[in-house]
Formats: sequence, structure tokens, C-alpha cells
Amino acid sequence: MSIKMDHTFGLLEASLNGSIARQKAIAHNVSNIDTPGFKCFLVNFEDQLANPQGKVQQLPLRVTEAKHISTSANETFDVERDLSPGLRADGNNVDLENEMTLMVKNDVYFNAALNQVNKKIAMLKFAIDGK
Amino acid sequence: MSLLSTMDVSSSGLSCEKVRMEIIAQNIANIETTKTAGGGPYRRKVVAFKEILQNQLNGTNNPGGFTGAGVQVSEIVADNAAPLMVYDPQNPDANKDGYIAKPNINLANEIVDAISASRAYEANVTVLNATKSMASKALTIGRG
Repeated sequence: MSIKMDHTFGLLEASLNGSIARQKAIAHNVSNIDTPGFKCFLVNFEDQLANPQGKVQQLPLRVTEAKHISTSANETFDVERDLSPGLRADGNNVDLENEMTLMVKNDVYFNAALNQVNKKIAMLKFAIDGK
Repeated sequence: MSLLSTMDVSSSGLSCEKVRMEIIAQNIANIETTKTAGGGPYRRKVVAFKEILQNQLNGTNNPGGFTGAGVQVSEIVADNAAPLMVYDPQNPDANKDGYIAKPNINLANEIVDAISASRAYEANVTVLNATKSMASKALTIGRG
């Protein structure tokens, strides 16, 4: 019975990476709140995680724009740009309230995934020590 | 780790909002300046921002497939709106008709801009703090 008998760690790693990428996208969107014509970035990783277990590491990158894709084959999220015109005269479509809500949700999600990692490690430790 | 570069993104936002606030302060401080080195009254300055994309910086692959790396000041330009002509024949800078050219600054606009810059600064601080708490939490992996 190997430690990698299930895909918990792989899925949790993908969740954490997705969450970190989303945090960066939010930081980028908020820092560009006064940049004329800026279109906000969206990071999606839940769809990929919803795929059957074990396929997480082999998923191909979904290409939305050639220069947005990294060379790493282990990415399990995709980055898109919201090209909607937005409500402002300068063409910027960052919605600060939406970004802040996303950030709070992302923080909770990140903590939840991290707690799961720690629980999993505690279980393995218990299995090894037997006490 | 990508969380640390996320803090740099927020930090670029903070610097840019600070530059914007400095320019607003300069505009308000010069609201009565009728003489400048270039001649004529002081002209209102405007800050223009543009986003930084990572492949513009180094062309290397980017962690996480995401190219956004914050914001930068692209230029600081003078507002070309016509100066405000005020009748004041006693002023040493008055022209032959008794008018002086005052800076094209609307105080209400500057104050609203200052509030906007201040709120944007706070928003960047909030994101920075959230990122910091995520990074600290990530350090607890394996301790539980």
C-alpha cells in the first residue's frame, strides 16, 4: 500500500496552486483599477478539479490566448480575460466589490485546502507511528 | 513561490497610487501658481497607468500561466485645457487687459481624485494583507 494510493495530495496541490494563481489575478486586477482600458483576468480551476480523479496531472492546457499559457504541463487551471466593456467611460471593467468578494472566498478556500493537507499528513503520521 | 510575487503585484499598485496622490498634491499646491519655468501659468498634471505583463519584462515562462504582474506609471502629462482667465489688474502677472491666466485646476475634481486614489491604495493594502496571511498559513503545512 503506497502513500500515493489515492489522489488526495495531487488534488489538494492543484487546488492550492489554483488558489494562489487566483490570488495573483485578483492582486493584478485590483492594482490596475485605474488603468484605462484594462480588462480583468479570471482564473478557473474548479472545472478541472471536477474531472475524474487521477486525470488531474495529465490534463492538457486549455488555450484561451497563446501568450497566457505557461510551458509547464502541470497547470490545472486556466486564465481568461473578461472582455466585457464594463460600466466605466475609460473601458476598465474591474469591479472592486466583486474582486474583494472573490478574494475573501479564495482565502477561505485556500485555508480549507491547507487544513485538508495537514489532516492528511496527520493521518499518515498516525498510520506510521500507530499512536 | 507565486504568493511572494503576488505581493509585488500589490506593491506596484501601492506605488502607482502613491504617485497619483503626489501629483494631486502638486496640483492643489499650485492652484494659484501663475508663473512657471516654461512661462505661463501652472498646468494641471495627469498620471496615466498601464498594466505590466510578465512577458514584456523577461520573455521567460511565467509561473502559473498567468502573465499579469501589476501596474506602472506610463506617463505624467499636462492637461491641455485652457487656463482660467481672471480679471485682476493689480496682479503683476496681469496682461494689458488686466486679466491673469490661472491654472486650469478644478479643486473639486482634484479632491475626488484624491479620495479615489486613497481608496484604491486601501484596496491594494487589503489584498496584500490577504496574500500575506495565505503565505503564512502555507508555512504551517505539515505541522498539524
